Amino acid sequence: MPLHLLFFCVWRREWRLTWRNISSSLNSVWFFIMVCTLFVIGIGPDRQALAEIAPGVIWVIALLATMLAVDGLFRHDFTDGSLAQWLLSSQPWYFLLLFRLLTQAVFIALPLALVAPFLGLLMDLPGMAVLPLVASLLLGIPVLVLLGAIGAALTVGFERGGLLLAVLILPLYIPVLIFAIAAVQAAALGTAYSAHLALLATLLLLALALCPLAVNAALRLNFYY
Amino acid sequence: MLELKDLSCQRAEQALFSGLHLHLHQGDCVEVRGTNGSGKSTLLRIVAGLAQDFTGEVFWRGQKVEHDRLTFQKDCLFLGHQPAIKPSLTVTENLQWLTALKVPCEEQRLQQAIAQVGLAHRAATACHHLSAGQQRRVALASLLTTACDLWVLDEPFTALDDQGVTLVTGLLQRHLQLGGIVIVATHQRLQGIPHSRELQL
Repeated sequence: MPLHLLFFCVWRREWRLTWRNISSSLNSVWFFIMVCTLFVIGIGPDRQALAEIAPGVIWVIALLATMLAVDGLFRHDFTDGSLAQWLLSSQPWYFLLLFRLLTQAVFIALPLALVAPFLGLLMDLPGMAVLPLVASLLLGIPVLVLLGAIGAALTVGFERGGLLLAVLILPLYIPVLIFAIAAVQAAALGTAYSAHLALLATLLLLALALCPLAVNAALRLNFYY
Repeated sequence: MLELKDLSCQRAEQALFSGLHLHLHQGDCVEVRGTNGSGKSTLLRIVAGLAQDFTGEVFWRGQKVEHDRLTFQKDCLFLGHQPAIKPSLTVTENLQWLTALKVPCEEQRLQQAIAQVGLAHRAATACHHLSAGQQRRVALASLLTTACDLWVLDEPFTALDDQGVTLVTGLLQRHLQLGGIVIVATHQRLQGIPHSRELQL
């Protein structure tokens, strides 16, 4: 099957699965909105204090929300036997996984990036930092999804892999967090931020190319016991 | 076509089987038998390529499987305990995906296969509305749409009614007549398959 058709097949299947389970698919978005709101309530009406911590707070919560979504990336597929069929497919496994991860990255990143401007408003983030915030989320969250997929693939066989997943992949999230927050802070101060975004884009390209390899190896480990 | 050479496997420091030899030609059927925990599923997973903690070799068309896994996976269809059906997708969508993972086929052929397993009136129903037996039938329909030579079936009769059992037997008969190879683990004796061999684990 030509690769663009394979991509279309994977995209269509993932879209149907996401859309038909929309309430659970949007859990991470509710989490994002709720925790940001709790932060605002907790800190109180000090607008300047809020604006100062806004980039860090929004990004850390977006990161945790992403991890929430990533945890279940392969779990159902593992228990219902779909994963075995994925691994035994005669389609090229690299592209099969790449397309799946790319699709999931878009489905997880897009809603979070869409609600982020409103949360920025809530936290009094300067208007000129809103666009960089959205851009950093659109570039950064897919990296988090791709890295998280490695952890999710390693822990898929465990009943409660959630905490282990956090321990495994949170250290890998640090570079993304640093560059992303630096971009938003630079924009809030009115300085140049494109270098940070370019670095995020680099991380994204690297993760896209390399993560499917690691995810494939990790997924197969669950069967080769 | 399919040859297992000196296959041994250990689980939890206990030998499941050792020194297993098996040579299957076109039109051969092997029933793997044994008590619970005797390693039937493990053997099937080794053949399908879902296990690596074994010694020995698997050959397909005279070639070592690990040398050309993609060709082998194109020819081999594995149906495990879980039917690999997504509850929120419809019967057609599930079958379409299971088929596309091997070689995609036209819509008409999908609908034919769905009719053959007796789910024509359910083709557009989401699978969470189906019973366990009907879901199993969806998975079985992928036997018809994928055109693989080697079928590796783990307990294909689970959750099926009498008609379902007849249906599977019919599928097996036709596949063997066309020169296919079947390895099946089952507690039920296969009816109506004259030359099937038994492998006791």
